Amino acid sequence: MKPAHLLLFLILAWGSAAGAQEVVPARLAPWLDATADRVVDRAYVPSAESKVGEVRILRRGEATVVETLLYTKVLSRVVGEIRKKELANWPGNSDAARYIETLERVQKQIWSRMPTNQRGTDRRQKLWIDFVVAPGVAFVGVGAFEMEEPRGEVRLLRRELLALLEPSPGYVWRNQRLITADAFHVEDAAVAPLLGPLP
Amino acid sequence: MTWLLTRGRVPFLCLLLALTLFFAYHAVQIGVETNNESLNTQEAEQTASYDRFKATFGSDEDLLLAVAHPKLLDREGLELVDALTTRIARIDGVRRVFSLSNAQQIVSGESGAEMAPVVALPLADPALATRVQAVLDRNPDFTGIFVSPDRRVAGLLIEIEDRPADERYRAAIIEALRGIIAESHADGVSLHLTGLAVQKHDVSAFIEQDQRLLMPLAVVVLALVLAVFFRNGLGVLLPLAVTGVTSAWTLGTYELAGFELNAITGLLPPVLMVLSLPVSVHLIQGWLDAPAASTNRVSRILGVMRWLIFPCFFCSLTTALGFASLVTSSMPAVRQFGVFAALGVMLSFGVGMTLVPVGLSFLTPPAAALRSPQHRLLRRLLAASARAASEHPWRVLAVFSALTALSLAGLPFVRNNTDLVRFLKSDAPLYRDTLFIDENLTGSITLEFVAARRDGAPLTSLAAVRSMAAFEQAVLAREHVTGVGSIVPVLRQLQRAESQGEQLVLPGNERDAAYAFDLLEAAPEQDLIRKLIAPDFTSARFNVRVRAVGTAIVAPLADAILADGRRLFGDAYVVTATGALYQVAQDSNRLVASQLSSFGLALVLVVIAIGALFRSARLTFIALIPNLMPIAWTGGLMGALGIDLSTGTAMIASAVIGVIVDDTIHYMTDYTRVYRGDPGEAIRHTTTGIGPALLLNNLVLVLGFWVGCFGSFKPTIYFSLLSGITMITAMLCDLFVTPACLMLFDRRRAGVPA
Repeated sequence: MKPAHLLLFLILAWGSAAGAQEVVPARLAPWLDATADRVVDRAYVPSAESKVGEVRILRRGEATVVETLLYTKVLSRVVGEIRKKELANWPGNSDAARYIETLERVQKQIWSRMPTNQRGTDRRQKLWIDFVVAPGVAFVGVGAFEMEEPRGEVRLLRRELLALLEPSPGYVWRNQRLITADAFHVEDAAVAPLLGPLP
Repeated sequence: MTWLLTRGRVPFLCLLLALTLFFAYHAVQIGVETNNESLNTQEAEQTASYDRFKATFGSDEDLLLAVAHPKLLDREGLELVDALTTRIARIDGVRRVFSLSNAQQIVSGESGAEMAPVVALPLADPALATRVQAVLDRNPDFTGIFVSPDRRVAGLLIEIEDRPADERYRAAIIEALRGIIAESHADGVSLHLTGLAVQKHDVSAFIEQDQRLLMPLAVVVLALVLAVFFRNGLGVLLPLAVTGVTSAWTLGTYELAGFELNAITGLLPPVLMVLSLPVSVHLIQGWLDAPAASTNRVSRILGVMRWLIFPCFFCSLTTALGFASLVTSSMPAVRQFGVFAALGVMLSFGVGMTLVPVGLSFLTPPAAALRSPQHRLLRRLLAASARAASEHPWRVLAVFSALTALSLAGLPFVRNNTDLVRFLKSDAPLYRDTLFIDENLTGSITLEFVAARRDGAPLTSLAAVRSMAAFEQAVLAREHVTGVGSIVPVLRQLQRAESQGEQLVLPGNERDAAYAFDLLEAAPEQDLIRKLIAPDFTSARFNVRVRAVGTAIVAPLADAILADGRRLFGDAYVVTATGALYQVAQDSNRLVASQLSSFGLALVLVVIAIGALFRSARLTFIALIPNLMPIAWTGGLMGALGIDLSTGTAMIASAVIGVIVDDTIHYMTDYTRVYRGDPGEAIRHTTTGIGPALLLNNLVLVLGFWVGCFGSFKPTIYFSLLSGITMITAMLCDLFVTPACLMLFDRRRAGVPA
């Protein structure tokens, strides 16, 4: 291989790897480790009968996490719905705009990984979104995952972080409440007992 | 028998009355079939295929209501469509109503394809018509179903629930819709209703209407004929009593067997009344014509019975065998008609041979045989026919053979055709409405096709989508096809919306094709999608709308479409045809084979019966000639007049052969009785002797069968009309051909008394 070609290959390979795998700052890494997650509650969206995903309230050490797991063949539609809600809840907000842009990018990334041969495959595209509020940090992680469904219950086998956002803590905290209220079909006042005290 | 005519008379009459009351009670309980099930064959594979289709895609009994409005796309017209849609959706038993006012189009949204109403509010918008017109132009698939090409007629597709246990809900829906139609009579506005459920409802209603009309009419006609001929009350009351008892017993048994009246068996009551008359007419005529010396009541009756019992039995037997041969039909309604007509004929023999003698035993025999002036005129005509047949037998045979040859030339023009619309009279609401919808909106009858992969895999691959689209286009190119409802147009609309383009195109690659099905799976309107493709996408429906034509066109069209399917999908797929119309087309295809087998069976049975009676191959052969000729003539007449071979007309040959052969049996029995070595003299004696009774019998049979011409269904009207015509021509053959054949072929027996 000529040196120029080798260089081009390395650039492309690095670019591809950088696009696929988000670099996690060391201070956030513990709050993205889901191995010891404790599920406090969960709700299927939009309903248990026709679910495209679920929202879970997790305790991850001292952090409170509102985790959205989407597993659907029409992920772009669901992301489109999230976009509508974000724009309605956060008109003109730059954090929301960045969040939407990130979601759409990750959705396309996941879609591009889908095999073109459709036969005999699980065509559901799987995306996770974590709104994490931990002592001293608040951030949003977005990624892909693999799962199994023993007795119809989703169990994560592998998570892959594809995007990391550090919007304002107020945005993260408020969105945790909005997502919980929407998914659990409760008033804003009833959200606090579900999420627990702020870390 | 003597006991029955003396001391046993009263107990016999009491028993007969009790039994008749029992059967009459059941006869009046006979219901009318509401679903036309017995008009479909029970061919196992065909039925299973149709059941699978209904289980996957739902009922194919959708109703179509057309709304003609001069300003349909303006506010006024669309408000009417919207009001009708809302009102009809509230009728109990209606699942959903699809119309312009609630139709959804697939458009490009922020995140891809999404649904949007065809008629977007507000209706007060002055540009409403332009807006709706633009949507309709952009979505050509709506034209035909929801709106006519000239935009003056809207279609409301009414999906009704499937309630197998409820026999009334369908009728209630139709009546409610007809009530709405009756209310809507503004200027230029008219409503028209069609659909399989309407047909089932109207057929039921017509059967009930026919029952109310045909039975009383048959009684009046028969009573008049008998009164004119016999000119005394006895000659009217006794045959009518036999008819009443026979009808009550047969129809009571029919009800006890669990059957309901259908379009074919609706003819049973008048036919039974007619078929149960001959025995009593012959007995009474014989009793009246008996020699003056036999004035003792009992001996006179016994003498007449001894003379008539064998010919009457064999006549009844051959008639019954003719009808019984219909048991080979694949259509339950035809089988029921044949079996119960045969049962009625044999019952009428038993009842006639007992009730008539018992009735006559109460009467004083006339001192001399009754002769009326009409009889003298008749006898002159009969004498002329006997002279022609005995003096010019070859000429007679030549003329009748030429007519038969001419008729046979017309046979190829008889078309095998069952027309579900035109089998009603042209003034029937369903007939008018169906043709209006057919002309203005879309084809009013539908063929159903289902495509699936042999390996059971889903049809979500690009190759499968392309095959389905190619099949759709091939079907649309077929003559008489007005539209094809399938998942393909939906996929085109989805792809246009997803790609944010303007052209209706199919997904261009494997991933897009798969994603289109993912979108379908997640779509909120699952009910509509499930009518087009199976939930697991393994089989797809093609609802082919066809102009209101008969099975002569539909059957080859279905075959051609199936051939298209096999060619375009290839060996990896299986394409099947099904649906109510396809069943009718298949049944129609089987008509000729069914008719030939039942006629063949009838002929064999009749030949055996005649052979058993005469014990002579020569006489059996002679008896066949005058009975095959009129059937050939009727076939030729059908060809010349363009009368189709359908469920009703296919029964004629089998049913009538057993009836018309009776006159031949009577004629030849009398001929052999009076034969003294001179065939010419025996012919003159026979023709003038039993001719009047044969003519009366024929007149009764013909007029009785023609009562069916006042029915509501063309197949049964043609059955009645052509059966009557066949009987008239058979009578002519019996008066000319039978004696001519006897002159020619029985001549070698000259000098040998029979």
